[in-house]
Amino acid sequence: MGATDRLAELDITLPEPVRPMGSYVPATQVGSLVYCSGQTPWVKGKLLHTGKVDVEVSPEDAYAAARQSALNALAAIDALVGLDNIKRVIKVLGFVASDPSFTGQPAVINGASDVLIEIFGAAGRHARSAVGMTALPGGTPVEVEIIVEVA
Amino acid sequence: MSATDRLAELGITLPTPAKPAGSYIPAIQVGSLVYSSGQLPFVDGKLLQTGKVGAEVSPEDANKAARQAAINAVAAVAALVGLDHIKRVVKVLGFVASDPSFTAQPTVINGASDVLVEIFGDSGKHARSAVGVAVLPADTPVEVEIIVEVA
Repeated sequence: MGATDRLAELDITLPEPVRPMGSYVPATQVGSLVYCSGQTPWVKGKLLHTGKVDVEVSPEDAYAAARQSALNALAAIDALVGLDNIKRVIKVLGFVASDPSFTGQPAVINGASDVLIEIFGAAGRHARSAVGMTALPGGTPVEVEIIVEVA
Repeated sequence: MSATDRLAELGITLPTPAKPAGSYIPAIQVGSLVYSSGQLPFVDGKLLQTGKVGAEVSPEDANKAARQAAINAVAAVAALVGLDHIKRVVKVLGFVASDPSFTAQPTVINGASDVLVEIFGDSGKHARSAVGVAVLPADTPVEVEIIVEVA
């Protein structure tokens, strides 16, 4: 099943790609790899949540924000190469705006990883790092960048 | 000398790769590159240290933690492709959970870089970034991911 069909089955609509917040592009291709810029959980011009995880934002809401960030990353890649040309997800880097006492970044970034596996199945399984940051652009609790292999 | 022989000479035993802390895999190959996931300084299921560098953890102990995290990253890559197939270390990204006043992240991440050069010689020399973050998973002081070229 193609990723487009799978999205329909999961009842997920990819959002419009988010306009970059600075002097960069949403995604670039080099050889068979596409790198996307860090994506935040914008939905219809608004962040799903703002604030630090475990202070203003619950880990559960941050999981949802990570899921949305990954979908926005796919939207950025889709706009460049077409969703159905994605062969495999290679790498995810997840940033979590964290109170210094919060150490549950992996469970938050599972929101991104899980939706990629839902969409791409075994080809969605990727290497990953998840880290806690003092603050992220626009007050987002989560930022996610991904690298995919394309056909 | 092969990397396996060199490890024996250095008295380093590669550990069994740590089980991922979420919905991801320890390492992935795309073309001639292998990306590891972010690795923590686990030894026998326990972190070498916990806390922030410049506060609870000394820079010297954090350097040792970075060394162990790099050894664990090599173990993750070796489990996928075999240690002696590693041709070159290409890139290291090191995260240091830092007290806001601590700015010596490069010295800490030298623990990772130095052991890679010890093991792989000139082929272990790599590009690198080292950054200070607010907090890391499980309160580890250091997380290291690597990209290697394989034969």
